[in-house]
Order: sequence, then structure tokens, then C-alpha cells
Amino acid sequence: MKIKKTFKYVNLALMMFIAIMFAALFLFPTIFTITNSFMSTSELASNYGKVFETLTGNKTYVQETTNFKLIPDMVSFSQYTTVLIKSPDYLLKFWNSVILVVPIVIFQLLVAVFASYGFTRVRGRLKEMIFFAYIILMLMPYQVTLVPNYLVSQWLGILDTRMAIILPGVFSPFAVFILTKYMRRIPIGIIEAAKLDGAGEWGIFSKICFQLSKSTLYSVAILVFIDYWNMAEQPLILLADSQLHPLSVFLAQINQGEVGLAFAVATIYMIPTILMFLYGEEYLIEGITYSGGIKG
Amino acid sequence: MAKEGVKKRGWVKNAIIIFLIIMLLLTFFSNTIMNYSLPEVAAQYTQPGTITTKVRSSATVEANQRFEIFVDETRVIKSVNVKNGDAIEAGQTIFVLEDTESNELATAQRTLDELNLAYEKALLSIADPSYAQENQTIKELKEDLNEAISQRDKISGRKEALDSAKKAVKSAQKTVDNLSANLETLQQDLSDASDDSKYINELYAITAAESALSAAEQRRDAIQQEVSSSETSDNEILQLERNLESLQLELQYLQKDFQNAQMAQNNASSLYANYMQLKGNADAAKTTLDALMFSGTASEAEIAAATANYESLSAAADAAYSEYNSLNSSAGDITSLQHQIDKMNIQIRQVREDLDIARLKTGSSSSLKAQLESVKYEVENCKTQLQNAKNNLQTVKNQSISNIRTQIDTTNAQLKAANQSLADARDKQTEAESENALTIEQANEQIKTIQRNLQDQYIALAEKQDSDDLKLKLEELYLDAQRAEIEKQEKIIADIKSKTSETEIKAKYAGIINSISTVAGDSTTPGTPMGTIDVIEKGYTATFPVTIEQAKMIRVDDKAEIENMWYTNAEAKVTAIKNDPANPGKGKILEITVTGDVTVGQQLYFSIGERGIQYDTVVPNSAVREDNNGKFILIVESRNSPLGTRYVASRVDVEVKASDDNFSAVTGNLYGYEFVITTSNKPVQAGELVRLPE
Repeated sequence: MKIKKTFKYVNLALMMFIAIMFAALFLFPTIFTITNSFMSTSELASNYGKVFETLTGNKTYVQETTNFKLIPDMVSFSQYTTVLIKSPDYLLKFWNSVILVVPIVIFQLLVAVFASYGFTRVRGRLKEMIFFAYIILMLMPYQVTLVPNYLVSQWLGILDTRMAIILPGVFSPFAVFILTKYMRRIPIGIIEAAKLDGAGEWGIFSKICFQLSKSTLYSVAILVFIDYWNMAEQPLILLADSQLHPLSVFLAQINQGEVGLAFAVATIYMIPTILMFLYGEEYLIEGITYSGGIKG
Repeated sequence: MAKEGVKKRGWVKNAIIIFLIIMLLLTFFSNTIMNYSLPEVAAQYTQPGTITTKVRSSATVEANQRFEIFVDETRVIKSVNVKNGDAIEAGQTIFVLEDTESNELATAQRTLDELNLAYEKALLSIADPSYAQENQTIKELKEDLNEAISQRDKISGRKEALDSAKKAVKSAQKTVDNLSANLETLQQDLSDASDDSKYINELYAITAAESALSAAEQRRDAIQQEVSSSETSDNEILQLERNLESLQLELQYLQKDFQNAQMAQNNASSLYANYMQLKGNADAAKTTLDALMFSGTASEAEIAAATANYESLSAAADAAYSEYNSLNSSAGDITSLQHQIDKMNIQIRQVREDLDIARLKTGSSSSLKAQLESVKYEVENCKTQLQNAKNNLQTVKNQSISNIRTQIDTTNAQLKAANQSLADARDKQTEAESENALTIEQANEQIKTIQRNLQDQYIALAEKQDSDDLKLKLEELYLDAQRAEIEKQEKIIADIKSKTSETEIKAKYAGIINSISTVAGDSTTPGTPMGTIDVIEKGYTATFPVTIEQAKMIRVDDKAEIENMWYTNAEAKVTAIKNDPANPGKGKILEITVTGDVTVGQQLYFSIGERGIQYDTVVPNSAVREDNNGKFILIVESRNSPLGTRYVASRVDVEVKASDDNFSAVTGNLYGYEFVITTSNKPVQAGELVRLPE
């Protein structure tokens, strides 16, 4: 008995240790980014000079080898000062991201909620075929649909405009798929009960399906937000004007420019995503693990 | 749980709102802040224009001709009659010198004296070379060579000497061994001599005395028993008396013989000791003789003396031995004599006893008593004889021990001498071995070495002789050179004497004293000017350096404006453009002739040239900047952004073709419509954002 208990504790400790190791491994880049964002430009140059060696502006770095540091020699807010106060470009890029992502999230949810209701309520082979097409589209990587997207945008005359990104995002199949799956789990008895009570389609949609799907809507909204907040290929391909590029593209390009700002920019870039996740964490988990059921 | 979730969503929502508000405010004010921090620049477009270049410089007016005053000797200045700026006439006295001999003459005279002294010294220092040291060295090497050759010849003789030395060592060792054995034997004899059992004769005498004493005592006892009875016979008595007399006589003869034998024995012991000593000396002499003979280095006289010594000692030893032998043989009977004496004493005693008994038998009891008394007396005699025998034993024993000890001492002395002889023989052997160490090959090698050294010495001597000859020749050449120096110096003195100047220095030309560099009491330096005179009648000039580009803009006969003079009739004209020796290939020297109301040494500012050249790109001088990479200008480039038009300073490398006071003509990667930054309120670097004035 004692041996069993001891073995159990040892097993638990081993599992905990492995879990902590993996957690540390995954958390390390984030912690690294945040702590290095409080280093001054010269300290960053001396630590990572070799990594960020550039050919522009005759910049040279002191150290030839990379020196990973978690604790700054002197905590400095110069990066944040430069990014938030002395660099309007960054703020411009932030609002570019907001301008792109918010309409995509709102309108994608709008389109998805109606589409998923339709897929749930309508029966027929055509519906199945369209839904199947939705699934296929969702499974395809973006690079597959890149060229068609580009050609359609060009044909529509929206190339080099924000609509070239917003419109394809609005009609993305991911939210439709999730919401459809969720709505199909709503018991048919509730809907028939509503029908019996005299509710029409709009009533069923607005009072039952929509209300019951709120948590799923929140989780889908968060997922879509995270997905489109981090998009980089679409703006690079579809927006030639760098002034329209979102923050994700700016972040990728900053390593070739102001290296000293990279960590601060990345930290600030993480904040909206973290806030959104914190806001909708419950819904996210609930939406993924919902098992449905009729009470009473 | 739900409440917590609501609470959490609440603060997250607030955080999102705050974050968005902050970002909005920062965005709203960022442009303002950024623009506020940007440097404000003033700029203007490049344009074509004319650059009117004038060459400006200052120069000092100098006279066209300047005359220097100097003397060719060192003299003391007595007085200076003029000062700077004085106008003088030709022939006017300027300096008055002391009427004394010049330093050059005195120095030359001293030099001549030194040269003469050195010459005399050189003559005295020439000496004939001596080679005594070298000859001595050669002589010593020759002697060494002869010695080495004789050593080589002696090598075979040394071998025999070594063998002889070894034999001598062997012989000496044998002598030492024999003496050591003798010494051991004597030691053994000494221990034996202490043992009483070895003295048989004496012990026999003691035994006999004891027997006699015992017999006398028995007789005494018997007579005492026979005191009561007496019975004698006259014939027996007479016979016994006759026997007694003969025995006593015989006893006397024996005792006499015994004493003689004892004396002879004592003499023999001392003779034996003498013999042993002589023998030891003879042996030592023999050893010495052997050593001398086998050494091979002893002379014949030494050998003869050693031989004679040995023979004499041997003869003495032999004589001593024969004497000892004769005495010893005569002393040899002493033991039998002792036996005979003892026997005789016993017989005498017996006869006496019988006589006494016989007397006693015929006599009365008083005669028995007299016999008894007689026997008692005899007992006493026996006791005395016993004591004497014991004393004799002790005496013989002591004498024997003494003899043996004497022999031991003698043998020790001989052994010591023999050891010394052995040591000497060994030394001689060692010496012979070391002398034999040298083999024929080694001896030949030594001879070769000495011969080589000798040859080297001959060569060195020859070289030294050659060197000394050369040295003599060089010294002769040196003397010749010195003689030539002396003659030369005498000529110099004659020359100086012929050039001795007068006491007054006069001006050759009329003019103005430009400078006087000496004062009264100073000494003049030959070749150094004491003063300068500006010759007025030849006019004035001014010169200054210019660059080649500047020189291209000027022509000869161009008028030069004098900028810092007003209301004057002074005029200047370019008379020559020469190469600048201080800056060859990169500069020129302008020579300007000045006429009018000017003085020598006056500083004038000249301005020459009025030609202007047209250039395509002219910028203000303030727009032209310079760093390590050369000259450049900063142009303003505009970029449009959602936040408005941004202005960036860009660098363009240029070359300045010409410039005047305000503008510079530049060439470079310019199209002709660039907006050039002329000034800024902060330092501006290429690539930086700038803002234009509102």
C-alpha cells in the first residue's frame, strides 16, 4: 500500500516536472520578448548585434556573438517611448490592423450566424453539397486560394485597398463551420416547441438559436480575431502600399529597420490578443466543450 | 464561478477600453510630438549662377633689391653708426671694427701648432717591432717536442721498470708476511712461557726437592723411632764416609759446570736479540736495495751504497748468529747438568742417611740423637733447597718471558720497516704504472699536437711580421698626410693674413637700413649678415602664394587692388606668376610690384581678379558640408503618408568647382531642381526626418 502511494507521488512529481518543463519551453519566447522590451537600444545591439546585422544606414554592432539575456542591465523604457511617442508609423500600423480586423470579425460573425442557421434548418442535398464545399475551402491553406483571390480582387478593382482583405475575410468558412456544428446540436424539440408556440423562422433564430449560440459566437469571434490579427500574407500580397499594411507585416519588417524597437513592438502587439482571450476565455472553453442537453 | 467570470470579463473589458483610448490619444498626438522633435531646416532650390572669384591675400612690401652687409672674419664691433630705418648714402660708414687679430687667424694658428705637435709625436711613436715573446714560445714548443720524443723512446724501458716494481712489491709483501708469522709465533711462545708446565727441569728440581724433603722427614721419623736402639759398623761408616766425600766432590764439579752453563745461556739470549736486530736491519737494507734496482731510476752510486750497506748488515747478523749458536750449544747441557746435580744431591743424601744410620747403629742413643739432629738439619736443608728450586723456576720463567718480549719488539720493528718498504714499493709500482699509461700511439699523438702548435706559432710569427711591416708603412703614410696638412694650414694662415679687412665697414649703395643684427661689442660671424640695406632705387614688391585654380584666373599685368589703403597713390600690378617651391605642382607664387607711397615692411591686402564663371548648379556656401568622405549637400525629399507629407534629408556627394563669398558651384548627382538644406536649427544627418518652416 505504502509502495503504491509512493509510486503514485513519484509519478505525479515526474508528470509535474515534465509539464513544467514544457510550459517553460513554450513560455520562454514570450517572457524573453517582454523582458527584452525593457532593454535600451545599445544593450540590444551589444547582445544581438550579429543576429540583426543590417546593410542599411552603415550600422555596425559591437558584439560578434549572440548573448541571450533575460534580465536587462538597466531597465529602460526608451523602446516604448520611441514606439508610442516618437514613431507614429507604429501607431498607424496598429490602427491599420484594427481597421482590417474589426470589420472582418463583425461581418464574418454576421454572415456566419445566418449561414449556419440556414445550414441547420434547411434540408436537402444541395445544402449538403454547399456545406461540403465550405469544409473543403476551410481545409485548404491560404496559399491555394491566393492567386484566385488576387485575380478576383484585381477584377473587382479593390486591389491595393483594404476591401481586398476584408471581403475575403468576411466570407471565410471557418465561423460558418463552427456555428453550424454548434447549432446542429441544439435539440430539435426546443425548436418544435417554439414552432408550436407560434414562433416563426426569425423568432426561432433570434430567440432560440442565436441566444443559445452566444458563447459559441464569442469563442468564434476570439478565434477569428486572433487569426486575422496575425495575418501577414494577405496584406503583403494584396496591399502594395506599405502605409496600409497592418502591424503584423510591420513587425516582420522591423528586424531590417529599427532593431531596438522589435521587442517593444512585439509586446504591444501581444496586448490586444491577450485581452481578447482573457475576455472570452470562458466562452472559448465552453464553446469548444459544449455537450448540449434539454433541461426539464 | 459565474460571478467571478463576470467580474473578470468586466476588468478585461475595462482594460481593453483603456488600452484603446491610450492608443487613440498617442496616435492623435504622436505626429505633433514627432514634428516638434524634428529639426527645422531652411532650404532653397539649386540654380545656375555665376561665381565671381577674387583672389585675396595679404603680403608684406619688400624692396626689390636688398643688400646684405657682412665680413669674412670674426672681429669685434667697436661701434654701429646707423639704426633701422635710417637713410644712408653710398660710402657711408655703418660699422667700426676693433683693430685686433681675427678669431679665424688665431684658430688657424692654433690648428697649425697642433698639427706640428701631432707630427712630432707620430715621429716619436714609431718603434721597431719585437718578436721576443713569439721566439720564446717557439723555443719552448721545440723543447716540449724533444721531451715528448724522448718520452716516447722511454716507453719500452718503463715496461721493464714496472715489472721490477711489481717484483719488489711481491718480495716486500713476502717479507711482511714472514715477519707477521714470526710475530704470531713469538706471541704464542710468550703465552707458553707463562705456563709453568713448560719448565720441565725446574719442575723436576722442585719435585726432587720435595721428594728429598719427604725422604728426610721419613728418615727423621724413622730415626726418631730408632733413637731407643742403636747399632753401627765402623767399616760401613768408613765406606759411607768415603762415598760421601766422593759424591760431594763430584757435586761440586757439577755445580761449577752448571753455573758456567747458566752464564753461557744468559749471554746467548742477548746475543740472539742482537742477532735478530741485525737481521731485521739487513732485511730492510735488502728491500731498499731491491727497490732501487727495480725502480730503474736509481743511480749506480745509490745502488752500490745500498748493496754495501746490506752486505755489512748481513755479515754482522751472521757473526752474531754464529756466536749465539756457539754459546747456545754450550748452554744446551744445562738441563742434564741440573739432572745430574739433583741426582748427586739425592745420592749424597742417601749416603748420609746410611752413614747416619750406621753411626747410629754403632753409636749410643746420644749418637742417634745426634743423627736425629742431623736429619732435622737435613730436613731444613731440603726445605731450603725446595724453596731455591721454586725461586729458580720463577727466575727462569721471567727470563724466558723477557727474552720472548725482546724478540717480539725486535720483530715489530722489523715488521714496521718491512711495511714501510712495502708501501714504498707499491708507490714505485703506481708511479711505474702511471708512467706506463702512456702508450706509443698517445705519445705519437702528443708529438703531432706539439708539432702542429709549433707550426701555428711559426705562421703567427710570420703574420705578425707582415702586419708590423704594413703598420710601419701606414704610419709613414700618416706622417706624409700630416706633413701635407701642415703645409695646407700654413697656406690658410697666409690667405687669412692677406684678407684682413680694414676697421671701417661702409655702404656700397644708397638706401634705407632694413635691419641691423649686431651691436657694439658683438663679434662678427663670417658669412652672416650684420645688417641689410633696402636699395630704394630698385622699387618694391610683394609676394603671396595662391592655388593653381586661383592662378588660372589671374594674368600678368592684372591690376591688384589695395584694400586697406585710402587716399594714397600706391598702385599694384601683377608682374609674375611663379612656381611655389614649397608646394610644387599644387600652388603658385604671385609677385606684385608696388609703386607709390609705401614703405618696406608694410602689410598690404591685395584683391585680384574680376572674372565670373557661369555654373549650372550653384548653392549657398552654408549648404556645402564636409565630412571624412568628402563634401556633400543635404537635399529635402518629401514622402507622402497617411499622417501627412514627411520630409527626409538625403545626402548627395558633390564636388565644389568654385566658390566666392556667398555661393559655391558644385557638381554631383544633381538634376538641377533639388531642394537644398542651407541651415537648420539642429544638426541634421542624412536620412533624418526634417520639417520645413511654416
